[in-house]
Amino acid sequence: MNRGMMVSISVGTLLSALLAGCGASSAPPSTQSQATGNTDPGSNKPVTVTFWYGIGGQLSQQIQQMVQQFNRTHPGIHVVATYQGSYSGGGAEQQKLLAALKAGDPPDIAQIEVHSMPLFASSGKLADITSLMNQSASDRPTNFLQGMLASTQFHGHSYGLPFNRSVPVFYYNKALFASAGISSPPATWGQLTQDAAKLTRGSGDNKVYGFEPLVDWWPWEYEVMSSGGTILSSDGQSATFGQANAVGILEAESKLVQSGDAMVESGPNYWDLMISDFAHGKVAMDIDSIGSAGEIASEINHKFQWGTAILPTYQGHKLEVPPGGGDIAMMSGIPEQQQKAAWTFMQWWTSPAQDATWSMMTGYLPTQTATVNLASYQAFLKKNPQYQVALSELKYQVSPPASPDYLTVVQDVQQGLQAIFDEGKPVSSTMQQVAGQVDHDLQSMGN
Amino acid sequence: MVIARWREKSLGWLMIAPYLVFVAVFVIGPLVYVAVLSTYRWNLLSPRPVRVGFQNYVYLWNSSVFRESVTNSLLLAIGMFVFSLPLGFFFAVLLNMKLRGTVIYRSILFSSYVVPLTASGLVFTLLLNTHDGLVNRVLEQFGRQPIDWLGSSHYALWSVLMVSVWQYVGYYMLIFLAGLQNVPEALMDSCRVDGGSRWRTLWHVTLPSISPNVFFAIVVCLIQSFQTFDQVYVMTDGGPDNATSTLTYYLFSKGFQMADVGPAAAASVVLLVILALLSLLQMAIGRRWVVDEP
Repeated sequence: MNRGMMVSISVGTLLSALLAGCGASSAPPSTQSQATGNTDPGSNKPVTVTFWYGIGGQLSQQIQQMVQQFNRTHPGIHVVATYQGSYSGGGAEQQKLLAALKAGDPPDIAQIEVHSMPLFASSGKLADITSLMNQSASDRPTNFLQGMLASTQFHGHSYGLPFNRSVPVFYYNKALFASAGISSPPATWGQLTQDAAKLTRGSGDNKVYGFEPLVDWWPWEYEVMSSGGTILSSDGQSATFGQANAVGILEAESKLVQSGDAMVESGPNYWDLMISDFAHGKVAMDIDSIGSAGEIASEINHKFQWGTAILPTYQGHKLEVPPGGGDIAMMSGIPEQQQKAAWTFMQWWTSPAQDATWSMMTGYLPTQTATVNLASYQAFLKKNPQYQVALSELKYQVSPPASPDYLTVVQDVQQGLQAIFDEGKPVSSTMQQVAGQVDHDLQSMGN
Repeated sequence: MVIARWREKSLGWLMIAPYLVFVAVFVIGPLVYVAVLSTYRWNLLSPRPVRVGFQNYVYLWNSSVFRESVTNSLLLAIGMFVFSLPLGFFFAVLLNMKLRGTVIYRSILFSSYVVPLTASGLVFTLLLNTHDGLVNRVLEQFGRQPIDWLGSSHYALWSVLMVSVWQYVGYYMLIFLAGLQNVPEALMDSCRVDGGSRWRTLWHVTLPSISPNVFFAIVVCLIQSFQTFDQVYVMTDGGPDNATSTLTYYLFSKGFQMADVGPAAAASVVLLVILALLSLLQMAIGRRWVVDEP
C-alpha cells in the first residue's frame, strides 16, 4: 500500500467514526410510517394512535395483549404499540422520544418514567391534560389513589396518567427470620441493623447475609428523604443530599457491609443478581421494587416463606417513599382526531376493569381507588398479601424534585453509590463530592 | 478546446457529486452543527437554547468525570497499542510460516472481528460474571479467589481492554499478514545468506518492508481505541464510579441520557481535535520511518 492510500483510509476511518457518532441521534425508527395514511377523516378506516413504551420481555407481551383487547372493543381506533427499549431514566425509549420530538415526528402517546416527567413536561412537548382529567368520568383526579398523581404533575398542571407504577418495599425471608428467632420484620433501621447481625451466619460460599443494599439511585431517594434530608434545594438549583441529615441510612447500610452483615452486588446485572440472592436464600432482607414481587415469587417457587413490609424508618424521621415506574403522556400538537382517540385509550387503560387486570397480571400497582375496592382485586390481595404493603406505603409517597435537569442528578449519584458500595469509599465525603459535582452540572444546565 | 476542458471538468464534478452530497449532508453538516451546539446550553427540547460561548469547554475542563473519561480513553489506547498490535503481528508471523491448517487458523483468528461488539460484550459479561462466570470458575480451579471483573474499579477497565483486544487482534493480524505476504522473498534470502539471524531479518528486512501496514495499523488502532463505546455500554455502563467511562461514552451519556447537549457537543469537538492531532502527529512521524514502495 502506498502513503496516499494509507492517508485516505485513515481519514476515511476517522470520518466514518464521526458518522457512527451522528447515527445515534438520527431519525426515529420506522414504526411511525404505520401511523400515517389512516387519518383521512372522510374514510371509514380507524384512527391510528401510535404508542411507544419501554418495558420488555413478558411485560411487553402483556401490554400487547391489553392493546389488542382495546383494538377489538374499539373499532374506530387502532392503537399501534411499539417497544422502544428501556423507558428507565436515560434509557433507549427516552432517547428515541427526545430525538423524535426534536425531529418533529413523535408518537401520539408515550410511556414516561416518573423522574423524567419534569424534563418532558417543561419543554411544552406534552399535552396539558388537566382539563381533560377534570371533565373525565373515569380519570378525575379524585379517582386516583393518594399520592398516585404526584409524578404526573409539573407546576400544577397534569401531563400524564399513572401507567405502570411501583414503590420500593422491604422484602424478608420468613424462614431465615424464624430460625434466627426474629418474629417480625424490622420497623426501624436500628432494629434492622440488629436483625442483620443475628441473621448473618456461615462462611465462604455458604454464608448467609442479613441484608443486601441495592446500589441504585431509586432506593437512594428513599434513603435520603427518610433520613430527614432532601435531594435538591427547593429552587432546584443546588444539591442538598450531601448534607449530614441526608446520609443516615446510607451510613447504616455501609456499616452493615463493612461489618460483614450485608453483601453487595455490582456490575451491570446488579439488580437481577440481588433478586436472585434473595430468592436463593443468600440474603435474608433487601429493599426492592414491588414490581419485582412476581419474579421473586416465581424464582422462590414456594421453597420458603417470604414477605414484604413497609420500609423501615430512621431515628424517628418521617417515612418518605419515591414513586417508581412510568406514566403515560400524550404529545402536544397532535391532530384533534388523534387526541380524542389517544385520550379514549388512556382513559380505558386507567379505568378500574383494565387497571385491575393490568395490576394483577404484572404486579404493578393499581392506580384508582375503585380498582382496589373491586371484589376481584380484593381476592387477589388476599392471595398475594405482599401487594397490600405497597398499597399502604402509597400515602408516604413524595415526588422527587421537579427539576428538568434531574436525570443528571441521578446519573451522578449512581456513580457515587458505586464508589461507596463497590469500592468501599466513605459515605459522607463521597456524597459531598457528588453533591459538588451535581452543583457544577446544575449550574451549567440551568434549564 | 475550452469547452472540451470544461466538459471534462464538469463530468469530474458530476462523478463525485453523489459522494460530495453524502459528505456534506452526513459529515460536514453535522460537524458544523455539533460545533455550534457546543456553544449553547440546551436540553434538546426547550424551545430557547441559551448561548453560552465557551462555557461548556470551561465546564469540561473543571469536570472530574470528563477528565477521568479522557484518561480512560488514553489508557485504553495505550493498552490496545501495547497488547493488540504485537499480538496481531505475532499471529501474522505464525500464519505466514505456511504451516498446515493456516487457512483454518486465519479464519478463527479473524472471526472475532466479525462478531458485533454488542454480542461479544454480552458474551463476555456472562463469562466475567463474579459468581458463575467461566473465567472465575477456571480461576477457582487454581485456588484463586473469584474476581469482580466488571464491578470493581481495579479490574473493570482491564476487562473492557481484554474484550477490545480479543475483538480487534484478528483485524490487525490481517493487516500485518497482507504486508508480510508482499515482502520480497529474495530480500529475505539475501539477508539470510549474509548470515543475518531470524531476529535481524525481522528487524532489518521484514519490518521496514511492511512499515506502511504498521503505520496504518497504529493509526487505526488509536482511532478505534478512542471510540470505545459498545463494550462499555453493554458491559459496565461506564461504572463503577466512572472507572470505565470513555470519552465517547461520556458524550453519549451527557447528551442522550442526561439531555445536557452543550457539554456533550463540546466533548465531541474535543474528541475530534484529539483524533485529528493524533493522525497528524503520526503522519509527521510516519514520514521518517515509513518506507513506501516505489
